[in-house]
Amino acid sequence: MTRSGDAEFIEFVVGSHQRLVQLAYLLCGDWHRAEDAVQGAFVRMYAAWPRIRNQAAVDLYARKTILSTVRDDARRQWRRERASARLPEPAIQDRTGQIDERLLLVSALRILPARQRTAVVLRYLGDYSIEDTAEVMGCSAGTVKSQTARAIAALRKSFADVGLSLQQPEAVHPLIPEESTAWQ
Amino acid sequence: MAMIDQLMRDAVEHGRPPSSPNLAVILARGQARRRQARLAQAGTAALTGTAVIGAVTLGQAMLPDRSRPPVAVDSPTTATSPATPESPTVTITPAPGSQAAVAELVARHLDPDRGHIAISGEDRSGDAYVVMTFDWFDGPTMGQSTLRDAVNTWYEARQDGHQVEPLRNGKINLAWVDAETNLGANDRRKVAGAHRNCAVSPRRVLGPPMIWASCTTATLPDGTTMLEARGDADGVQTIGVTHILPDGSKISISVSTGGDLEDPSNDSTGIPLSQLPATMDQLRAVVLDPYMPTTPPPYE
Repeated sequence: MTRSGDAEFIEFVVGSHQRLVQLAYLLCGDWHRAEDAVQGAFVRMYAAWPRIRNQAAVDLYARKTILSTVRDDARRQWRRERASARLPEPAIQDRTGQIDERLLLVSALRILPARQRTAVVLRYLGDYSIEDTAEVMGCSAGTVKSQTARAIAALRKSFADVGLSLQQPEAVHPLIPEESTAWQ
Repeated sequence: MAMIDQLMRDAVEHGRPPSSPNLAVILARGQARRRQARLAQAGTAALTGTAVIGAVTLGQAMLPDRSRPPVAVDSPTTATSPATPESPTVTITPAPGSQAAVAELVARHLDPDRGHIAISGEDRSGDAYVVMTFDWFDGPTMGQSTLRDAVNTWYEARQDGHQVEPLRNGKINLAWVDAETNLGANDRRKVAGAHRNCAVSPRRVLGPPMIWASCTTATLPDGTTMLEARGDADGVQTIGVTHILPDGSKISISVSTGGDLEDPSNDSTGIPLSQLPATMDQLRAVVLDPYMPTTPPPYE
């Protein structure tokens, strides 16, 4: 790799590290594993960097690599960690309720099936279009829609179970009616 | 009412202080990975380009001399000629002792169609021992795409609650053990039984230690010793061979029908194989392969 290639790669790493760690965190639910996954993904990307001719595709490639790394890691970890079918009781009470909601969201994401979790995180944290999400997940746009809708329904139910409500952003075309339980 | 996108951003932005990437580690490991890819590419090209000239041209000069220290992966390698149709007589230096090279060697002997074996991890304790672990997968999706994609697809489908056909999962352990470390002691606990000194046992943490049911010792023509052991514990069959080198260090490989030796009762990664995926002859061929490094691959 040329010096300029290295410089471009380093610039990409520094510029994207934080948001990719955040993305990985919501996919795996653990900050340390998220950082490991992102570092592993950067290593793989460095090896492939000279072949990535279309720089516009770098971000898509990065997310694909993160997703693949997190999935590999999850498969290895599964023997040691068992997901619970039930959410833990909210352990922290705060005056505004914001902390509870964040913890609840992270917990609720962790018990989603992997593809639902990936779809909803890419769509709402990554601001990815349905088509780009489909590209990263390696599936059709229709699958992204259905997986996202099911994820939102499950998240809403998790929030409703503890007396809270969850809403889709108005900017995004609602994939599921507010009170629908059709996917549950 | 919480908005889902805002809640996600809050969760990650307030969840932890920003961290910095470790550029030195990323670049060093990335460079090592690129070297391995180049070597693998060169090796494949050479094997393709010199099919007729074959082993004779590649020759004895390429065979590693086990009396010499192995070449470290980070050492400069000799120049390789690009393999093109115009230059079929490619001379290369074989990939020196990297994990990728060792994995390739194991696959060549045990999984020539490349549809079953994937590296699953490694464990090391200084110079005392290094264990490279491999998964052996056998199921309906194997061979239809890359192995990793096939396994991940199965895993996700199962996590999503779908009924999926069984994925059978076995385990392969390849170990380098120094002369001072007792055979029969795995990485976590001592191994009991009459044949405790027979072979390096596979990793087991939660289950009981492996007890070999039988063990044979043979002296090879070069004067070195080969141990061959068989065991059956918790319904998991295991066979293993250990080659004791002249300096007392050992190279051992074992293969088990159980996919999760750490917890045989856990079927989360698949159910045990119906039969051992390799024979004793194949295991013997792995440890005696002239390209098998006598010291473990460097950490990657």
